[in-house]
Amino acid sequence: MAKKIQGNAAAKADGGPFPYVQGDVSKTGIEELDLALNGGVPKGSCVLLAGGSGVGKTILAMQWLFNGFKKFNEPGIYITTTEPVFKAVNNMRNFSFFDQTLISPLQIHMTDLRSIMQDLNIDYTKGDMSWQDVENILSIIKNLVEGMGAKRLVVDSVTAICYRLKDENLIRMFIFRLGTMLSNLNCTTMLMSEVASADQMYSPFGIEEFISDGIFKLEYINRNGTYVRSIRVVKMRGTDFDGSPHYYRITKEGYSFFSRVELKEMKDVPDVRLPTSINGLDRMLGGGLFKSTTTLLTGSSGTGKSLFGLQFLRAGLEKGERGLLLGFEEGKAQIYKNAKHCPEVDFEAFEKKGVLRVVCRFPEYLSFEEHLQLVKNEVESFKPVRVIVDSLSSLEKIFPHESLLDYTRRINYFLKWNGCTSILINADEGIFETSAITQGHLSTIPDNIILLKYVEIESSMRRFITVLKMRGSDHDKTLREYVIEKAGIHVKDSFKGIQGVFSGNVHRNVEQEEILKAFKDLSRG
Amino acid sequence: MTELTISGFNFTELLRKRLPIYHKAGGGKITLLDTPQQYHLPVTLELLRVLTTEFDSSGVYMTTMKVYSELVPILDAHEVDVSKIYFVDVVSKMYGLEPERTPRCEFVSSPINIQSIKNAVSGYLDKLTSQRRFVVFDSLTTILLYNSLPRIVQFTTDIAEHLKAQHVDAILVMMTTAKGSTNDKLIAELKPILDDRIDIPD
Repeated sequence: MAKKIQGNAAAKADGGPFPYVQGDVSKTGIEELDLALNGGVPKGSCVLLAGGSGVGKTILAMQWLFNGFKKFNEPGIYITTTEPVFKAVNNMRNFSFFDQTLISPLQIHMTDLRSIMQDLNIDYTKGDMSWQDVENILSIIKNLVEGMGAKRLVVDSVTAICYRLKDENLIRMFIFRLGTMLSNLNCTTMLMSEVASADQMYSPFGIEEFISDGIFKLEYINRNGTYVRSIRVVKMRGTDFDGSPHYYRITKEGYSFFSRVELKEMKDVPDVRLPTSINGLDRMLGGGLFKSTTTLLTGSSGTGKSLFGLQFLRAGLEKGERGLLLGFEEGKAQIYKNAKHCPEVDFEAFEKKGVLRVVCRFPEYLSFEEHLQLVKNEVESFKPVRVIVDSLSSLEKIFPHESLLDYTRRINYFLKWNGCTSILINADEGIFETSAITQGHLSTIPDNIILLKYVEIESSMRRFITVLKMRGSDHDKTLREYVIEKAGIHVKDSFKGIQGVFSGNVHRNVEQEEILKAFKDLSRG
Repeated sequence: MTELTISGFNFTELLRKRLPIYHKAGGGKITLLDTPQQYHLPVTLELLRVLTTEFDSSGVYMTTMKVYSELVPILDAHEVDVSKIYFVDVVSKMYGLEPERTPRCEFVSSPINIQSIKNAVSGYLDKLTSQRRFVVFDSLTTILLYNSLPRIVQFTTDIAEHLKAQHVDAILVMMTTAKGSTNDKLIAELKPILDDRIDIPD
């Protein structure tokens, strides 16, 4: 991403009057956030970290401070106004970015504004701080920043200070003065803003956001019952930025962003087919599925969708191609057992050999972003040739349909981009209906669609298969019966002499001669 | 105990040479100890060890660096004789801790409160019974972060005069900062009252 610095920086580049270094940023040290910020926060900026309780404002600020010293040798100050320093420190002990030995007066300096105010004879318990009180506090902060050459400052929280100021004008003046003073000292500042309710956008007073140079909005997002944290750069003066939400979780390492699964167009489309080795199916497909394509395999319960997937993987494994199975319906042991029974393949042995990876998750336990991350991590680390996702329908139980479409679109591009030939399994709800593939344009996403269906003929349930779509290739369009045998699926002939198989309105084909004969017999009386 | 050597500079040996000179001169010497941040802890530990164990001195240690409860075990582990030290802790209360009262330590609310620091140090001087007595201010650099330069010059000058009068040695610990910084200016301002200066090389 090209760095774009506007305003004063351009003036400096032209020999202008302002002491502004072009492109000089305070990196957060968190890769995804720095990317969203086009490199980092412009140095000397005052950024509002706005969010409700529990979103991780303090953790982000602490990570920024500790990364600042460890990675960029920039001393920092943490000023607390809400909880004692020792508690704030204790809460950070389990994070890998935290290093207690760095807490010292000239490295990462921690202080409690309430102690300072007490010693300045400011009554911090009342909400009537005067301008003189503000000046005294600002003077101490200036002394601290100058004295230790601090490049980063955190005020946790600015809301607590604002509540102690007499009126809105003082709040405005305080933040403006603080921002200007620190900017002149080339110290970048993060101010925590406690947003208590939905009607408060970025701060309780609605003033802080206008005075700050930047705003990071942190929040919990409810995604169909699963909660995920998100951060969005709402405003950042002096730099171009990515204003879309970035999803993260808080781990031992601090902020851990879900990598984005971007929609990227294929540069090279290979003209190579991968046989499924399913008896009779490759003939229908003209030799197999094209490499780096995605196939939606859809059908009712019991039609053998998972078995198709297992056989497709087996075909690759036997040739030494890596296979990945992402299972959201059954556990690993169950999959091993199923595979051993039919199509008689020892998946456990293949996994031990390192050519197969079976990853099973309860779909409910992961958020939308974690599901995307799972695909990304497994594909990037294992580099499979064949991938089975079993199934999209189990994800639909936890995501809204739009999210499922988004998920399918993203993994479709991602898998193709990474050279994977994939089968995405989808279950039709009813026994005879095929509504799922037409819902919400799901059918437009994959390259190929294979349909498995039941049909009732002469009081027995029989199964048929048809290839509905195959991009870039002719294919067999007949409806063919298939049976499940011990060795797997066997695709047989089309239903000769029978019509209406697809619609379910089955009747026999009656030949013209037989009809004429019947009329003649009638006329003879 | 191994001697503390930093970049070929034997700090322990230097203390062994200099401290007896102060004593022979009758005490009341004001020494500035300027150390880079990264050597601050080993340098102060060694200073306190040599003072309390090798020279049998007793004194007051004012700290803005570590809370009393955490500091004592560290000193013990470094073979510092803590029974010979009274403490003025300027950290615990600022960190929001509620330390238990102890006769060996005064807790001051924050480095802004220099009057309380002065009172606490003075209060302990009468309790020092050994021949050789000392006060270590660790560090003036931190106190300066919370106060104006003239205020700290005044504070240091006043306390130095008081200690000189009582023949108590003072070691003013400072941490090396950039040239031209307020810290640097303070060192320049204190020159007239200093008897000695020790610079730990970077």
